[in-house]
Amino acid sequence: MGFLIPLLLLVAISFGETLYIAVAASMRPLFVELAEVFESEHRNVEVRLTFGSSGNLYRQIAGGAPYDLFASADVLYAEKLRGTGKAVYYREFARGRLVVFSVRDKDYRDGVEVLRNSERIALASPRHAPYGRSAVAFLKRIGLYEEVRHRLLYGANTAQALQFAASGGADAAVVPLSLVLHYGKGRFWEVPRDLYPPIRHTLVLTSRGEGKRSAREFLRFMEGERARQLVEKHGFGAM
Amino acid sequence: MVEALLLSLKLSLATTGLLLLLSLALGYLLSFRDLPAKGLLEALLLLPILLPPTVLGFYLIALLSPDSPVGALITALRGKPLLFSFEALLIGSLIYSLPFGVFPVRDAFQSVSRRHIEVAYVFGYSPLETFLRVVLPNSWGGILTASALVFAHTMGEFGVVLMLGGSIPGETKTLSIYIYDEVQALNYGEAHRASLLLLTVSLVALAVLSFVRRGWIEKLRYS
Repeated sequence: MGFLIPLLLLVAISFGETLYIAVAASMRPLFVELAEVFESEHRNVEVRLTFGSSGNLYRQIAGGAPYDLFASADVLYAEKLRGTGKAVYYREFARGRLVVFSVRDKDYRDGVEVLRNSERIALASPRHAPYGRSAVAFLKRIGLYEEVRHRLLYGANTAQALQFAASGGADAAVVPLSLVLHYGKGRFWEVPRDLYPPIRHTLVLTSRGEGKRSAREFLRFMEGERARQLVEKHGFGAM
Repeated sequence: MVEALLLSLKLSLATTGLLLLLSLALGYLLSFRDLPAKGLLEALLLLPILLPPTVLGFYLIALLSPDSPVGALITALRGKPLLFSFEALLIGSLIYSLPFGVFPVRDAFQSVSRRHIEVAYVFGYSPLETFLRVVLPNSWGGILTASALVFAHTMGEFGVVLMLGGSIPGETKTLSIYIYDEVQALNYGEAHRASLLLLTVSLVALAVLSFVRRGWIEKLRYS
């Protein structure tokens, strides 16, 4: 009977490691696929994903929420977490691409024309969503902000901003390319790179995830070729 | 979806069970004891109905955060922070549904005939015996109503959970949060299915409680 106990321990260790990842809403489709591929390569690891705006997830991790990794849409939150000892490592791994999206069936030349003709424009809250901040920066840069500021509709995160426009409640949305590609309907116009500050997607290893083997394995997986292809396929640029 | 449903059921059942015990105690105090400032106490117990869930959630975050003295103490005792855990949701739900538990129980206690209670005293029953053998058996209706209200209120709880929970699968992602999440992800089909499930389960639970309550009242009438 004595050999059973170490055997059971071995089974308990090699199975049942659950990896908790907090993911910015802009990367939802990407991380759903990344998690699937990662799980198929690491049969003993189960990945659980939670989605929200980067700022909200940051607030949760600062408050002690049990996430091992954090995929933020802004390097700022990673720096803040490391400053308070809640993060031990981070790496920028992709650049976000901003688009103007609409389901209205009109022939517009460019995104600016879409926005000018929209009664309601959805974007993520700039208070805690990096894409919301980029959208506002873009509107200011092209001198449209003052004109449209009373027509802006704020979602809790990018996914909700897209949902406002996809449901037809808003005429247009300024959202990440990745979500629009995944949605597959409607039309979009990519915002030129030089019209908004770079959106730096960052993967953070939290102090909680530091001791977890699966968290380290996921970081290594993200540096590999397969992950790089998926990042590109989902509409993100290289850093 | 099943995981979120089970979590919602677990939260609702735990809240109902704990809150019933609390309501029996508070209901007893409010009905049979002379308390100073009873009016103020009752107003305080009603407060969760008045407060938006955001206010309740916000102050619980402030209280339970590892940065606050209370939160730091709990974190030290538990080894991990309370915020964003099932226990945090349970605390939030207990406060959020408090009036729905206390007041039906209090009213049931108060509607027990004074004469029955006095007769019990004449027979030499102690206050505890009187409570267990006279007050409680005559209050099942109110207690079942309180259970149904607390259960349903917790199943449908959203704001407090959103503020405190953090949507962690299996830990804090209840069915109502799951629906919110699926709508944001534009998975309308899944959101429809989950909504229907939430509605069905809550309705069946309430129907069963109502059935039990009616059966009990019939029995009381003929006994």
